[in-house]
Amino acid sequence: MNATLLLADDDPDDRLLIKDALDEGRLVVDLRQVEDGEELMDYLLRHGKYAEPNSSPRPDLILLDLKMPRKSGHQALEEIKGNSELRRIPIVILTTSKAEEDVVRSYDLGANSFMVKPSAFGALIEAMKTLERYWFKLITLPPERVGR
Amino acid sequence: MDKRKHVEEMLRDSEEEFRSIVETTTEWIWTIDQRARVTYSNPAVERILGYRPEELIGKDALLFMHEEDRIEIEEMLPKLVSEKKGWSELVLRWRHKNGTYRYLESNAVPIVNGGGELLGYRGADRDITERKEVEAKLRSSEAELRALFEAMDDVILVLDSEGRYLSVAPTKPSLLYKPPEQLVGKTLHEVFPAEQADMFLDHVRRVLETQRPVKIEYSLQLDGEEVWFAGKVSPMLEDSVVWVARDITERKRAEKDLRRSEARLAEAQRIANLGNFEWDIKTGRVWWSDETYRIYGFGPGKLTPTLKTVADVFHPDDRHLLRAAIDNAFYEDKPHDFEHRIVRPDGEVRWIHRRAEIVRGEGKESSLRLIGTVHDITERKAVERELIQRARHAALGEDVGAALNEGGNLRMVLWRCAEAVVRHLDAAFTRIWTLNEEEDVLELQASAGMYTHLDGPHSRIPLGRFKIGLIALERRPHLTNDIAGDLRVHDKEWANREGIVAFAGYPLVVEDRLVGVVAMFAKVQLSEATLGALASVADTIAQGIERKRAEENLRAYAARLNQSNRELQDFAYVASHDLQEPLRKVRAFGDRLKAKYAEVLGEQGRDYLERMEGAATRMQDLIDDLLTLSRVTTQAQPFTLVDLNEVARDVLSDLEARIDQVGGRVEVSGLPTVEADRPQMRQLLQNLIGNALKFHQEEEAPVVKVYGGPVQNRKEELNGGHAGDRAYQILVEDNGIGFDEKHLERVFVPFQRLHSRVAYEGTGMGLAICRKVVERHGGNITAKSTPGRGATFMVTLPVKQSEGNRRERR
Repeated sequence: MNATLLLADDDPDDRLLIKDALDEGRLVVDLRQVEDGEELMDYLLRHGKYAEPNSSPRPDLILLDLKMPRKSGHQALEEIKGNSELRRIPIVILTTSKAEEDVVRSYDLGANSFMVKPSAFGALIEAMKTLERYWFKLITLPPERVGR
Repeated sequence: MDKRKHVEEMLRDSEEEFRSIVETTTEWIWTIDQRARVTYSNPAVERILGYRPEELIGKDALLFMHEEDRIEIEEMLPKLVSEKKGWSELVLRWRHKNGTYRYLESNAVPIVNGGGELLGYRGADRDITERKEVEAKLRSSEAELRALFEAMDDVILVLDSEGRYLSVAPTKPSLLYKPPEQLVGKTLHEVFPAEQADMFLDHVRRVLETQRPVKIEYSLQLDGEEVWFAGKVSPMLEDSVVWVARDITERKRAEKDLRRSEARLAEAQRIANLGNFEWDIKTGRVWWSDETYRIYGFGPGKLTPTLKTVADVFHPDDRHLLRAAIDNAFYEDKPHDFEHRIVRPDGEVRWIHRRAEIVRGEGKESSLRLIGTVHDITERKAVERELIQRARHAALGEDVGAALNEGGNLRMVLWRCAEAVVRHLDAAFTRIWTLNEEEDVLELQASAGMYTHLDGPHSRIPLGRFKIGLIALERRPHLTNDIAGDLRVHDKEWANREGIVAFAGYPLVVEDRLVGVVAMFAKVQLSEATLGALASVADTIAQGIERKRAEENLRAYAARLNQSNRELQDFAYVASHDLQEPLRKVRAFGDRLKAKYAEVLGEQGRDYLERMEGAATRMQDLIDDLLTLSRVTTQAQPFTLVDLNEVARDVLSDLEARIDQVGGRVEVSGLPTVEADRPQMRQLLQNLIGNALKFHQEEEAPVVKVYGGPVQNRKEELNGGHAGDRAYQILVEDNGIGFDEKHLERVFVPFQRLHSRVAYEGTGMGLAICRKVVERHGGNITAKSTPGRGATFMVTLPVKQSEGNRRERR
């Protein structure tokens, strides 16, 4: 079973680049993408277009952009970490912003890490490789369900 | 026979007569023989010398003489005898039988017989002992008298009716016009000049006429000096007078001095308006000096002052002070010293400073006097009043000034001003309104004194309403000391009830603009001076309101500016960030393209791709630099003391890699410590040193010298600095490619490049950022260069930042 990586980013180019990076890095993950905070919540809560069973497998890691329309990354983060069902899911903030207040707020809201999107593609590939190695190989992820 | 008998009878008769004469005379008649033996002595001898005639007969007369005199006679006698001469008025001392000596004056004739032989002497002696004693007494008393005279300083003369000097007593010779010898026997006219002699003689004649003494006073020139005499001429005998005079020159001088000092005292009293007085309590007599008369409003000496006079002249409201003072003086010997008013006869009221004390006489006299001074201090009192008022007005000015300078909002400040007016000008209450320009309404900001509430009918007064509104509209003050009669005051009942009698209101105007109104009500009449004080304070308050408004505007403006800055900063950041995004994509997809489709692209395709990516990268750099440039303003840090040597070291460590890469060398020395923004200084040095390294000559390793030193401030050196400020110059000198100085201005302009970007990378922003940093610090940047011979960039910075510059960035 491949790890499920849920990418939330409003920028289609960024989404494409990340997918390409994963491909170039020959990283085998199940990549799912949502466009903004709203869609992210719908996916996780299996609402709306994700009400269909099996249309939204629970992610093993969420890559979360901050600047998204409709619902920002921080808003979604807060909601997720406030949801007893969802808060165990590790979230890595992946954003272009270097602003200190964004970093602080992210950690305050419970993000697991904060990463600035590398500009160069090569660096992006490396970053993906590192993420995969760390999150899916090195550490132990929480179980999907407890006691079920 | 009968004839002989007759003759014998006549002879006996005449013998009888002769004998009776001889026997009865008081004189001692005697005869002595040649050997001085007494042959006859009449009975008078008994009375004179105590011897009966029989006791002397046959004795040597000389034995009865005084020793000394006998010796004398014994010497004399032989001569006399041989010459057969007698003597007359020979005074000799004879011993009385009782042992005392008596003086006898002797006359004698020689008894010579027919043949011319001396038989003896016959004489008569008179007892002159008493006369001698009298003479002796006289002489001794004369001597006494002389001594007395000599001890006297007076001139004592006796003159007759013609002015002749009959005698001059031997008193002090220096007092005599001429020595006594030259005076006695002469007349006054022979001694003195005619005029003087006339005067003297006149005295003499008058005395002789009236036979009464006359007092005299005159002066003589003695030994070149004027000597004054005073004395008396008294009748002595019918025809003469005795003239006694004393040297009173000293006394005269003392008198003159006394008169002069009395005159001076009177003059001093007059000038000082200070008089003195004396009240003899026992006799009730009051003495005033001339000035005291004048002070009390009387002509000197025009009346006889009494205690009642003084009490009457005292102002009725102050009379009790006099009573109290006198009681104190009497019963407690306390001196008094107080100020009081008097009312002069002509009605004028004056202020007097009175001091007096009791003086008790000593001894049996036990005199009791009250002596003192009165000083007319009316002018001083007026000045005092004026000074007090001025001091109050000055205090008012100060308080208002202080209130306006203190912090706090406008209402607080104006309340303090109103409060100061109440305090220093004795207002019942004071109010200050400010003008709300939009609504043309005066808004009450402060009320101090009787009323302190700000709400009520007076809190908002439209322009033109009530007297306050009218003052504001007409921009003219309104003053009245008679509220009851004032048409503009609408609540007269209230004014009556509260005892308000006066009102003064001033418009507050600054540079022709009305900013408010200040008004005060008072329970006493307002004097000219008070109105003046209020008027001047109105000016100050108006300016204060204006200034406070300006301050508040400024604060609001500064806040807006800060806000705007922050927004700008945020915007710049977001803008740059958002601008960067697409460029990132361009580069990223460019990379993808290169990676995945290199062969398909072909060389030309790849080249195009490179150029695109290059453009995108340049765009990114430009945006970064623009952001940096804007941050010089928006992210300016507060100034601190920055040691530029430290900053240079940091920069060098950052540039280490690059320095190695070009094989260059950077020498830093003697940079100053200045008040600056540290990160910006870092930026500055980084750009300058970076440039120096970048623009090196192809074949030559870059050598960069960074050094500094103090500079005399010349106006051109600094922007916005003050003459006399200390400034430093930092120089970055390189041996690089240099540039033509005609491009000097362009070099510091954003985006301006002097070389193609192929030769030297860079956005052309570096020096623009440097200039912005330097300008923010109130300094200056320029450069000197020769193409091919390196360049020196010179930055001048003030050591200390000005207050204005410091505050800007808060």
